[in-house]
Amino acid sequence: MTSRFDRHPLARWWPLLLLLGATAPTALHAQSGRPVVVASKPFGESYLLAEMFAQTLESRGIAVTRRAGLGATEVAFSALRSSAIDVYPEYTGTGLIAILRDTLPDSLARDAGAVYAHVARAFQERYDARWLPPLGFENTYAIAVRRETAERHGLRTLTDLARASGQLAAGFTADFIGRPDGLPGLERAYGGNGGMRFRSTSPLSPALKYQALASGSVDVIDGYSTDGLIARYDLVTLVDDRRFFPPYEAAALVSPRLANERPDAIAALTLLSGRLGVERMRMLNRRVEVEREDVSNVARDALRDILATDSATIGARAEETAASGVVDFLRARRAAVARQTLRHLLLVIAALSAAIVVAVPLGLALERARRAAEGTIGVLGAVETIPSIALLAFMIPLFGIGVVPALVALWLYALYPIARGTYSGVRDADPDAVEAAEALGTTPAQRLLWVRLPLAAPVIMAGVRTAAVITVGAATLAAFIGAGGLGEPIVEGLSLADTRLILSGAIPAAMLALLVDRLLAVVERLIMPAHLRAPHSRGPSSAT
Amino acid sequence: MTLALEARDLRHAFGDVVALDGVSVNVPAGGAVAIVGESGSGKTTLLRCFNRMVEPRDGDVLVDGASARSRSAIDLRQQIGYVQQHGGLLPHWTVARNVGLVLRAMGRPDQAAVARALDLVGLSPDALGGRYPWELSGGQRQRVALARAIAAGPGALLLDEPFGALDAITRGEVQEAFIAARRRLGVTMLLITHDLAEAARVADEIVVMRAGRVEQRGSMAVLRDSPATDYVRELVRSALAQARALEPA
Repeated sequence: MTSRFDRHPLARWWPLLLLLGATAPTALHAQSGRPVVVASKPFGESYLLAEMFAQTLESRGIAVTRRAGLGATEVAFSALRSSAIDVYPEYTGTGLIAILRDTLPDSLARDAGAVYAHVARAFQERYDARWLPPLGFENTYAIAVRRETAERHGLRTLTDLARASGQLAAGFTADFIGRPDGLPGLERAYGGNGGMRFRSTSPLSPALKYQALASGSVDVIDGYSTDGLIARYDLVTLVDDRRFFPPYEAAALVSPRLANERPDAIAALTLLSGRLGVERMRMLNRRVEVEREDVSNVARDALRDILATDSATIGARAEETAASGVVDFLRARRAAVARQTLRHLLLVIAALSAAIVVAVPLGLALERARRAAEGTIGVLGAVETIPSIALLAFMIPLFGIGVVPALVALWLYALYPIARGTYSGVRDADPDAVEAAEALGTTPAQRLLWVRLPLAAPVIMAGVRTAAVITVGAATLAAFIGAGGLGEPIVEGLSLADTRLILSGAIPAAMLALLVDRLLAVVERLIMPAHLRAPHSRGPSSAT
Repeated sequence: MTLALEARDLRHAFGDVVALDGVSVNVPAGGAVAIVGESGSGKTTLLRCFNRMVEPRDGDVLVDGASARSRSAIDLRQQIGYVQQHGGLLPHWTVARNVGLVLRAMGRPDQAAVARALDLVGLSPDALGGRYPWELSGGQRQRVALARAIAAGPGALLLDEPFGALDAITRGEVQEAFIAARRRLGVTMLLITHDLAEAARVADEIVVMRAGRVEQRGSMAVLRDSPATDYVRELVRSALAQARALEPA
């Protein structure tokens, strides 16, 4: 028996709406009893600390959701502020300068304890967010050069560097170039006597900067004092003799929701306070960044030492994969890859379906109002030119982080090809057939369903296929705002300069793009108008 | 029910281009009238006023004595069959489905009526009903278009150069089929053509149009013997010269 509802045009979309409902709100707002959302920024140490937070919570029986590799400071903090995430590792200096944008008197600004006290109080007052006691190490910016460069130019301090800067090519991360506690401040602090003026300054990906320095492409980079790679490449870090960089003490930064509602989680996280010295951290970072050990294994080993009393509650080691090739690596990660692929596919299906639901009627409407058509389609086309990462960033103030903003961004990308295909497909559908149908007394709806849409189907489907492939690609970037999917290993792999990890996301993503395109090709054949589907020639078969 | 068609003093323009400049034409119920004229003479515009595909700026269109505007365009069009030069068959529909278009639009699909219409235009429903338009010859396609126009039993037929794209032999055969079908149905017909000989063959009366105006109306004999204008005289002379060229010297 079919009810009225079954025949309703919306009925077919219900599974999708359910899907959207199920995946969308990875809770943007506080909700007691939900898992604690542990996040990190996209670099090795942040991944490692976040994983240690997560395992510590789990060892106390607290459920955890991981959101590793969120875009950057702005993304992570705006998510925390709205309690979309609950905790991530942050540094007091970053909190002071990049988030609060406060200036302290020099005497206080160089005192780690004073900075922590100021930051903790200010965050509590302004954002209701809480800094847990510091973990026990500082990770400040470390301006690094090759040993050979240091010896040739006699570089020991940043003042020395300023003197020689005219002969040196700098490669800094985009973050460092833009932050007030990065290059702009550095140039000001060491600005006397010709100042800090490099021969050239190029933006470099965090993942590539050490290789660029080691290979001689650049002479100076910004690193972190705890980076494992500084020792590996035998680099020299220059002394901040004017004490420009503020103290960057690492600590857990906690959301208002967690601070107010989950004393159990706060107590668990506080177990780590003061337990991570700089030597231990440098060693752990080295295992992740240089020796390519699995982040969760390194975190697990570290916690065994730190929380020695209850090592049994910390889970078993993941299968060790550090030394194997790409294929073995993929096999070892198959559960994660399958989960991320499924997530990716759901993102694509949801965004694409929502785009079809909107863009096809829009294309039809524009065909009725052609004056507005080119303009409207032009605006949608302009969306296409916004870099994905920028579009995702625009979404954060509106929708926070997670699945919702990612879906909105992917949806926006998918609109243009589908609306364009629908509009031109329907506009150019066999004009003789359309006119005859009109002159014979069909209603506009009948013409649409019987003539125009079927004849436009191939062009509409071409648009849908284009949109699908774009969406599969763009969805890899959704990981930057915590939507998960195959972008997760790509972002993490880029941050850790781990090619296998990048490939474990990129290869399934490429295969998914091909698969989706093939699947839609089958759909296209099924809905192809009969006269185009038939294998015969199109010429007349006989004379009258 | 057979419908009388009448146009009174129609005026219409597309932008600044005048298409109809005071045209009056009437086709009695069951009559067959051909409109002859060059491209741009306004003949297609006139034809399209009768099924409200064009709404003239001024003047009255009467169908069966009542203003065409007094009923909905869709109703009106379902009562008036229409065939255009290139058939306008839906390429993704079979012949039988194409012929059933109007019946389906009216909400009363009728396979028997489809078969009768195909029979009437000389096509076998069994052999051709399942084919697609691209599997037909040009002449077969125009017959299918006529079958589609008549399948729902209209009171009038509007034919816009339906033979214009056919080669000479096919053209003659299809004209025969049209004439036969119309006689059987007794339906009113308004035909557009630029070929005076074709007009003479298919219609009882001929209306000559030029530059949005009617030059003359009458049977072929009247046009030949007492042309009202130089244009009509020239038109007749040229058609006769062509016919004479075929006769033995």
